[in-house]
Amino acid sequence: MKQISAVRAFWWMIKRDIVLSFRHKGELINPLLFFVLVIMLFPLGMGIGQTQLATISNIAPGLIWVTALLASMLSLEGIFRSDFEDGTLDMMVMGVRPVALLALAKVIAHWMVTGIPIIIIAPLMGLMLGLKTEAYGALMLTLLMGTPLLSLIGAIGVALTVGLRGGGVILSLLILPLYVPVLIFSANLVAMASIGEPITAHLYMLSGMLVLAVSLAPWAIGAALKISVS
Amino acid sequence: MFAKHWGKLSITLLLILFSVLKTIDYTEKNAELEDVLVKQTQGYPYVYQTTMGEVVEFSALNLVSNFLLMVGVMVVLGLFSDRYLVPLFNKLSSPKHYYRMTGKWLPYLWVITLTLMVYGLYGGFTAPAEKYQGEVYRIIYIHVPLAWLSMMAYMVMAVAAFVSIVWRIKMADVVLISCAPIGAIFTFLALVTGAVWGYPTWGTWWTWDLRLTSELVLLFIYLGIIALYSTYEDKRTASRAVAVLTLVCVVNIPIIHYSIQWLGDKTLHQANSVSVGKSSMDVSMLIPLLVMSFAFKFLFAAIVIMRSRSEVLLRESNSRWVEGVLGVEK
Amino acid sequence: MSFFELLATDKHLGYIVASYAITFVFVVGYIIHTLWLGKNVRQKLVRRIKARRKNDDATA
Repeated sequence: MKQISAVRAFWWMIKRDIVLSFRHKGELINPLLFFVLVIMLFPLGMGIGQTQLATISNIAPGLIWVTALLASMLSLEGIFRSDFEDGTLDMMVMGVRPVALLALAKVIAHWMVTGIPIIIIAPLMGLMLGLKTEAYGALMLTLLMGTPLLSLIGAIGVALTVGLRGGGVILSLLILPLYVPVLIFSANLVAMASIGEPITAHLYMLSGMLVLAVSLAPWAIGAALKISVS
Repeated sequence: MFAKHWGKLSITLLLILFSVLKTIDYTEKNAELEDVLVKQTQGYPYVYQTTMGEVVEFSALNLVSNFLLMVGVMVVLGLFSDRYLVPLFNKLSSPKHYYRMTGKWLPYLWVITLTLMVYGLYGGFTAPAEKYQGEVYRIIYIHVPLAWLSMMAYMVMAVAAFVSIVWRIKMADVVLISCAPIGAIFTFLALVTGAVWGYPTWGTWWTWDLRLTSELVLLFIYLGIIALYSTYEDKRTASRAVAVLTLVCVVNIPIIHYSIQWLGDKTLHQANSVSVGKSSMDVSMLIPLLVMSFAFKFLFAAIVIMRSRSEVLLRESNSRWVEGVLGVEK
Repeated sequence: MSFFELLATDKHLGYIVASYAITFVFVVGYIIHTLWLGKNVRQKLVRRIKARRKNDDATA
């Protein structure tokens, strides 16, 4: 049998995961619905009668970002599960091609089917929360850079807990502390954009963090997967 | 030549890098300290500051003295490494010798801890009252050692995780997981004593500033490590997973620390009163603080050793030497 | 007036005592827990080793 190269395997893995997730449309829709529903809950929780749009619009960047973060964590939980159950993960880890590369492919595919819909629907949510007009571009930009970051970081935690029975319970304890820097930078960036301050420095930081995560996280995910399936 | 001395050379390079970074840190700290003095002259009420109250200017002297210190450390390390340090390290990495040697150390550690603690507390409670805060500043003698140690414990864990991943040394795993609970307790206590100190001086129990937030995240990281370890059935696998998580979180802590700093942290927390080579505290207050911090470091070592000894017995329960230790050999 | 009397009149005494007390309780509590754990582990191992020996003798 002819061996396919690592790069071919990478593209093949992305394609396979996207096709698989389109076959299970529930998994595709779920994080998006969660995102919209939770965003809807915040204004209701602040009192529907005397809802002050000004108050909500002040904290809108934070609300959208916290919700995106939770949605990302929720959807990440299942990223390796079906592969773990049917043994594909064992093949990945024992195979000749680097696990880190395949893990990166899985994360990219996962981000394309769950992260991009959230980015697309985020402006609408901003509208509902009365986000300032100046902040929409910044919101989209931070989500575009931040959601892959969340997926990469979160996948480390998921990879560590994939073989565990009670893994889902401690997942939030493992990855939410790791999400803190992303949240701090992104929410702060959007808030600064909405009061018209320059955001270039923050953008550089966020992109620096993304580069760091893209180059380091796959190795950590690979190492974690090796531990989990052994 | 390089192949023979690569260890010493890399230590040298690391130390040079460290001293340069430390110098950059000095300049930042100086700016911070000047800021404090400005606040003080404006009648800002709750800044912890100085009975001496001078600002040490950044100078080339700092760099040189720092560098000389590092070179000294390096020479000592180089002189002792082949003869004493490497054999000690090798011995400690074997469970049997670890158990035997730490058993001998433990009584000395406790004696040193108790002596230092008694001396530090006596010195702390006989030091003069602080100029702005009165007596309540005496919380510093436990708060600051606890806060330093909460970070140091994590650094110990990170080194152990690195050793465990790179060299697959079993004892590193044991030390790593033995540090986690006591690290969590120290972090929690640093937060609690900080809050108790903060209320009478700042008028609030909690504020979302740099140190408090990173300390809180550190607490959650400790709890995550403990939770991950206890979820795995097989403790060997658990140790490897925990080592990976520890190293991943090491990247996280400085990012959180500096991110809040860069985002214009408007803090209530006082500036660092003590750093290497200079201090804004009076000697009568500083010496008890340093003594207490060493006391807590010895306490930490003693507790970690106690914990790791029972852990190592559990893990090596099939070895013959364990039967000897337990007094049930044939 | 001695120093400790002066301290006792300070209005923040409660905060000092509280922070020292909670640190003491947690640290000493943890030390006791560790001692107890060590003792427990030793007893458990002794039992386990004896049971294993008995088992070996029975099969031999």
